[in-house]
Amino acid sequence: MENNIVEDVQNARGDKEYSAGGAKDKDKEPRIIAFVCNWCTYNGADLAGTSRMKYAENVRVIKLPCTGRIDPLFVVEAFKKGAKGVLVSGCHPGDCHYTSGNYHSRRKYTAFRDLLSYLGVDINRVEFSWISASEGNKWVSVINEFTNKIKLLPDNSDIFSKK
Amino acid sequence: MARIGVFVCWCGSNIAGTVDVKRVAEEAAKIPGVVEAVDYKYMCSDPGQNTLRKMIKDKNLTGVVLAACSPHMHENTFRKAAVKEGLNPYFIEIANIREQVSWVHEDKEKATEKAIDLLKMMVEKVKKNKAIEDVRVPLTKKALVIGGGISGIQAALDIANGGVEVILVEKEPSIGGKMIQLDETFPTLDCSSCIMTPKMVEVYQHPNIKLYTYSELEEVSGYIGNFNVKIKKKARSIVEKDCTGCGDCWNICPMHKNVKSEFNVNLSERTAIYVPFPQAVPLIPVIDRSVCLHYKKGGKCQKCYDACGPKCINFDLQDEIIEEKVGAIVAATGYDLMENSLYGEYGYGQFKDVISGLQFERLLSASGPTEGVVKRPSDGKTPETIVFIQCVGSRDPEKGVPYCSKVCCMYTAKHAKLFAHKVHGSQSYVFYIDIRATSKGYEEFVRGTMENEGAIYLRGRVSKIYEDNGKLIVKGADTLSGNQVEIAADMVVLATGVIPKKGSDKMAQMLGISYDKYGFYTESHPKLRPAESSTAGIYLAGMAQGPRDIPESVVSGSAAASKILGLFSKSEYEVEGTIASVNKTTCVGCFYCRRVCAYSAISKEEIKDRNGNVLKVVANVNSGLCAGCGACVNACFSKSIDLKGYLDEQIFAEIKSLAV
Amino acid sequence: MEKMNDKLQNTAKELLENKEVNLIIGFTKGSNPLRMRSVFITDPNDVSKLSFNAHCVQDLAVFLKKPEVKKFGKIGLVVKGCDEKAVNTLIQEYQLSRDNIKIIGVECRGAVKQNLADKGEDSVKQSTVYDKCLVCEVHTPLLYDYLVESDEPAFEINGDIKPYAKIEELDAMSVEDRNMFWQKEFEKCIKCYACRQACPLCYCTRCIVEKNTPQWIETNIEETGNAQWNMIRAYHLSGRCIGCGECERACPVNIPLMLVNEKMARDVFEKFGYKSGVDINAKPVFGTFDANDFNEFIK
Repeated sequence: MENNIVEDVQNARGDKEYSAGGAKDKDKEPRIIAFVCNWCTYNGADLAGTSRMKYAENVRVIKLPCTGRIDPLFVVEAFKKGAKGVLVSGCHPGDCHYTSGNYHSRRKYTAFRDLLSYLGVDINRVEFSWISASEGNKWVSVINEFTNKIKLLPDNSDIFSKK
Repeated sequence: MARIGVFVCWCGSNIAGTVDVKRVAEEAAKIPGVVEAVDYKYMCSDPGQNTLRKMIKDKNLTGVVLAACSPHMHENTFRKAAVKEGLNPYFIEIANIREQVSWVHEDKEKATEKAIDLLKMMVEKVKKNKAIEDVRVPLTKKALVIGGGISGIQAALDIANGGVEVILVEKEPSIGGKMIQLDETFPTLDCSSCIMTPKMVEVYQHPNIKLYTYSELEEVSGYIGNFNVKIKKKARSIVEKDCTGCGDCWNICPMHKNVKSEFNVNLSERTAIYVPFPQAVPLIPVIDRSVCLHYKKGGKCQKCYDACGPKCINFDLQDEIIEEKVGAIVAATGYDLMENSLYGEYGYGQFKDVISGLQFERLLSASGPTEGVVKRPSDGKTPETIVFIQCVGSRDPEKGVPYCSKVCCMYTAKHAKLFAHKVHGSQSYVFYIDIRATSKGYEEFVRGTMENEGAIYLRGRVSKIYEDNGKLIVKGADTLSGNQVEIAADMVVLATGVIPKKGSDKMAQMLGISYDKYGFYTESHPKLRPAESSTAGIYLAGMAQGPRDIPESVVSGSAAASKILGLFSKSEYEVEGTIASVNKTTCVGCFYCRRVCAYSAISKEEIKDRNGNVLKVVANVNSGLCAGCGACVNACFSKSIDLKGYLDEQIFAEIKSLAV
Repeated sequence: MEKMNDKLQNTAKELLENKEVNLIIGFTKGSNPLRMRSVFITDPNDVSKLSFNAHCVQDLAVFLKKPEVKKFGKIGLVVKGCDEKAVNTLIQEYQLSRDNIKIIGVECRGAVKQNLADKGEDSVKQSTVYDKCLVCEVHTPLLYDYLVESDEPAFEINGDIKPYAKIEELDAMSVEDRNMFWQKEFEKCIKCYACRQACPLCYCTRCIVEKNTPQWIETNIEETGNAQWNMIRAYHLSGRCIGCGECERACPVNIPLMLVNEKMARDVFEKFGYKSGVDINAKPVFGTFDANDFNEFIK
């Protein structure tokens, strides 16, 4: 592949632009992007804060109304943008604020994970969890365990990940 | 070009202690589109908000990002401040650097880097934000209550007393539901009809209530505030306005044998023209055309017509369809009891003296077939020994249902107690699994039955019942003593499990509300929104949601009513504008969105050319129903549906900002 | 095949003459005797062109999504069992009204691989037919208005040839090796979208790859974009693909797309017990859920 062409295209489209601070150094903790629902997991993460629990700094949370809105495309896009791990998290079965968003999402991710794995993506990099608004401690352990798990994996070489 | 203002809040030392707020603001200022980035001690304070407002005005901001506490804390505060300066509230975004940064990390360097990242994400998001207008839906201030049992009656009365018109639809010829069939009610033993009939009459006479009995819901369309309903008023064969309820017609009806009374649960007969019970509301008979000789024998019999003084019998009346427009609906369709015949070993249907709990209620009732004297259906003798069996169908995943029917423990204790009161020297045995008596006065009530009335409670199941020499021999286990027991009883009463009203699934489909695998309607939220269905504007009450007793049913009816009165207290129904919208140009109408929508918010819309030919059918979001979850966006292959506030473009920008 | 063709032609003629349909889509002989091509018939006198044999490979249901076909209104479609499942799926997904289609089902004994036919192969046996024919459960279409029975006996399957054997092989590989395999395959992709055009179920008028606000799927021909395209195609067809194999046949660079489609079909069946295209009244697997669905991967 002619990488210079690719870079040209990316530059032209503004995929690479300014450099305003932030954690960019690749040697640091593996970047995790977490897509979470507004009602359970986001509140659970907030509770970890109000309870002053501590966890790894590498997670970046993107809030959505419901796991039903968390499109598998987000996961692929996160890998493309250099994430080493992606977490999708929402309300426990039966607790969905919108009744069934988490159920639909679970079905889709069941198939999507199989597909990703089959196409050569290390599925250990995609985590899915149910974390309720009262489970600040679970949020902490899921993030910490996921971070540690990713650290042990070989650097991602799959087709979606940025080399 | 975006003109974005960034505010980094210290939250005293809550944020500033762990995050280098100055550096965050400095880095933010470097992001293209950011016109100014400042830090401030307390953004939520009045001076803080004024700083925000001032910058919106002075710099003519198109977007604002606050790096502060969780959006769940102060998003609304800042949105309101923005609105005051004429900025659409949805141009405010919050980077959560307190709950999700400063409070959970200790390394200042790393925490600061994370804070900058989160801020960048929100700046990139806000660049893609679009103004969102909240949705206002007009309200038709009239309510429909489906079901005239105690919870429906309570809902109707509460709404009507709140000054709102109510339409109450009842399938049976009279309102009253299951409660009016009961004798005395636990735990206070006040007679059911004594407390129920006044309410029924109140419904009938209430100026704000329009009552349709012997009527069924045919069709429902529309959405919160604007439902169109069609009600089928079945032909009673009586001109209602002329009927005085004198009874001359049913007293002369020759069909007084062989037709079982539904009200007395088959323990007596009724005529072809009948009122289900003497206190029926309305006290207007109905002709059961399936048994009436007039209809069966080609018009020969018209004895009732001849007997009727005001000549209000009209054999040719037809079903009528009534259309109504309502703003809210209460589904209080009630329950049925399981088929006793499921339990062959108990011999229901085979032995006349094995009866259901509801039948026993009728035997106890002064208005019942035996006028309140407990008599065996087989020979009319008064029983001296009765065996009561609890959990017939309930808590039995194998043959019945896995859930507890909730009321049986209590009514069985009541039956045993009333039996002891009516037949002195009698003996009751109760087979049970557990005793569940958890409301006010319930435990004491059951204790009383055991201790004062001498009912013998046996923990265990009955394995077999057979007839021997006029007695019912009940064989069962007493698991506490570990013994097999054999009781020679005169009568056996089965506490049959509660199931949803037949057809409740069809009703749910018609209303577009969700229901569980048994057919009970499911609440919008099991704990926090127990009166609401999954569909806006449709509320739930009574046993249609699951087993509950009379006080709970009344409470749920009142809860539904108060929700509706609250809804109607405003001139318009307002919903957040963060809802789905369809790109009708690219939508191909596969309707996966409609399949995954829990709110029935997606309908089919025909796109026509100028000659009225249908070009294609596309999805349309009903803004009154959409709750903004976004499941539809995920279901759409061509991304022709998007969620305002969480647009694909916004999420894409957020992810992109995190590129390493 | 003569009897079959007679019945086929008579059925088509009757339908056209009685104005029950305005168009018949079927197969006719191509210039090469071992290649069959699609034919569109509106005149009852042209029905003699219709023919069916083991070289009728194309899934003619693909035409149902075309606006130029749709405007004929009522259509008669000659269709094999496998391809008929596409019709069912289109009905399920509101792309086709059952009233607007007369399904002329043909009993199929297996289709000869085109590359072999091009070399002169004319016999139907396990070594000459497509993998999909070896796992075929619908030699007789599931749904039809008219059935044209086959004159031929079924071919013998003795297990010497394992259909889609590569799937098990890939499953057994390490994730790195799978990655290598697919990277090599997708490298070949030239983003011609023939796979999409040949698919009867890719009916979106604006494909997600053509949506550029945002551009989720890279359109440039480089490895990430290629992989993304192939991933999203397979994902969008999960639980929907009926296994006609047209995408793979259309691919000019021979990417083994059926290995992905078939794998996903197996997974969906294993996890949700759902087979696509079987029942026009069934809820599509990703349009519904069960509270007790597979939950093992979730913490």
